Amino acid sequence: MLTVHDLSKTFSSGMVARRRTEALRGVNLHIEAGESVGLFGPSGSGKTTLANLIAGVLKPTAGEIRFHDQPIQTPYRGAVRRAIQVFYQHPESAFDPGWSLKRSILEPLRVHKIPYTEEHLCALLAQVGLYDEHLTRGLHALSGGELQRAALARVMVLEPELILLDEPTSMLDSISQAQVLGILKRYQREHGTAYLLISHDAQVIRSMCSRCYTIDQGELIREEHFEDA
Amino acid sequence: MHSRTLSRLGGKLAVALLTVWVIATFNFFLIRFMPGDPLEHLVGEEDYLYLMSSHAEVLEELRAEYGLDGSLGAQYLAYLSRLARFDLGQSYKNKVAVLDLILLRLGRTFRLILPAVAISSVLGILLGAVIGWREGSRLDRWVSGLSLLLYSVPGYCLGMIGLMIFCFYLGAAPSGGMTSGGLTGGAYVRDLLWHMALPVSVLTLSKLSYNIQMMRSSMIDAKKEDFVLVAQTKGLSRRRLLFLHVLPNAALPMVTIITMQMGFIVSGSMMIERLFNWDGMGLLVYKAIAANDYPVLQGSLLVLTLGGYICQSSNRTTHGKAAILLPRRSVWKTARDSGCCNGPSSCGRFQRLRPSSMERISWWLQTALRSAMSIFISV
Repeated sequence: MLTVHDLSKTFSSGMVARRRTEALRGVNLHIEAGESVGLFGPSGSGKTTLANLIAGVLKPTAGEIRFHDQPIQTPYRGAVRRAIQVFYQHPESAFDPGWSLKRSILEPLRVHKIPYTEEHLCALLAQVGLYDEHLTRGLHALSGGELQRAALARVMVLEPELILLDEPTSMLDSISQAQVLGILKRYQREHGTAYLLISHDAQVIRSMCSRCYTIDQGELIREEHFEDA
Repeated sequence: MHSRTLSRLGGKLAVALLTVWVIATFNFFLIRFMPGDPLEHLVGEEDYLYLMSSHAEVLEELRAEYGLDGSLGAQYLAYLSRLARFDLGQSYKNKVAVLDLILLRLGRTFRLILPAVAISSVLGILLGAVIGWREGSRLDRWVSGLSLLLYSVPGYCLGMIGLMIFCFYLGAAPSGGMTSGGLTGGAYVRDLLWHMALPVSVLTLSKLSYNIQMMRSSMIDAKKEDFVLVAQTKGLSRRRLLFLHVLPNAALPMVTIITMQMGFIVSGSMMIERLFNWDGMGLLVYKAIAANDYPVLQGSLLVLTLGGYICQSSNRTTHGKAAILLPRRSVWKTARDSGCCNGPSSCGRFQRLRPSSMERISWWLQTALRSAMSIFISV
């Protein structure tokens, strides 16, 4: 479904002497439909950069990304944009603080002009373990776990084919972590969505993924297959 | 009325009265320690020296007439008792009630500062938003450079440059004053606007560069927020991103900045009023300092300081408005968050958190700091 060929990203910084930082070098990976693939590595290894490149947020310096065998260019538009979604680490800053939760969750539908009903919204909230009353609360009145689940609802509302999960549970306590991972597994079973799960927690990757890439200093150094994911 | 509400209101009133007393006391002693004798300006330098050497009793009579005899403590108590009756005294020079003088001049000062604050705020937000959104572009470099250059030029220098170009070389603006005199109706309004144009422009330019840079910085910070990145991944166009997410969040701090500018600009307009001979509060204070006119000085500084204090206090209101626009963590929490139960609407009870002792100390420190800042602004 998604293939990455020789992807590289170099950042330039500095006003006078431009410093060049190679965040990614010649990365190759592939993700099949309905598959969960892990991306494991220490902090600063390039995991989030790779996720942002695949998500179409950053433009690669070199290399190619193919989705359903078609090359895709940043910025993504239309069906490709709907099909590839990202779920970030920090739920408290993932929502516009001036917007209500309901407005934030329904925003992707408005952007892509997808009609919805209240029943559809209720069903979506039930999938992530939220209720109607959560929509009436301000963002400041939701716990970290509730915000993370609301962010999940916002990702799932577009029914994407691939979700890039950037450390989805690292900011959560163990109970909320288990809840979020359970929601993700159930959603994948029902919709056949593929995941690229980025984490520095090997246990989470083992429990969720059938395959895992290890990245270090911008390069993929290993690919592992798990038998009993 | 609820007893808690009464005690809260009583507390606020007590703090307000304490603040007024501190400001009045500071103003009184600060002015009394100024060098010079008011009587010298009243009778003239030559007559003053003559009376000092030959008829000192005449000077003593004058001192008694103007309430300048007696100890400093007695004068201070007399001043406080007049203040309690809202009597700011009479000007030594004009023999006019100080309150009337101040009210008249304040209106004239506001004619300058209100348009200046409004225009500099609107332009500052617009330009700052454009260059912040296009960070690093040629437009950003040019506008930022120009605004930093403008920021480094003092207001009175800008005023002198403006006078030189628009008055002396081009003849397009008057050299000073508020009106040409002898006009009524529409002609008076046009003449007033013509006289206002240059000083308002100078005041606007002196504040514009700060607003541009603050808004630019705010835009750059807002662009980097996680929710903007998330909105990009949802497929929002750049235009929607700008107007729905970035701009509203970036403009929020400007509410506080603009409110604070109101407190500073009243005192900062003194130089501009002196330069353009605009008969407002600034010129009133300037002339009172020159003439050692104690009642005018005390009254003006008291009003300016209280005005600054009110502006500082109103920041709490703007923070409140900002909190409505941008909700922060509330002091209310559901019983569910307290660990009561996990059910949804069944646990709808709320409990209000009592402020801790640290919060109370912090509040008192903030009030003292605001009072000190108000005094500093007036000085």
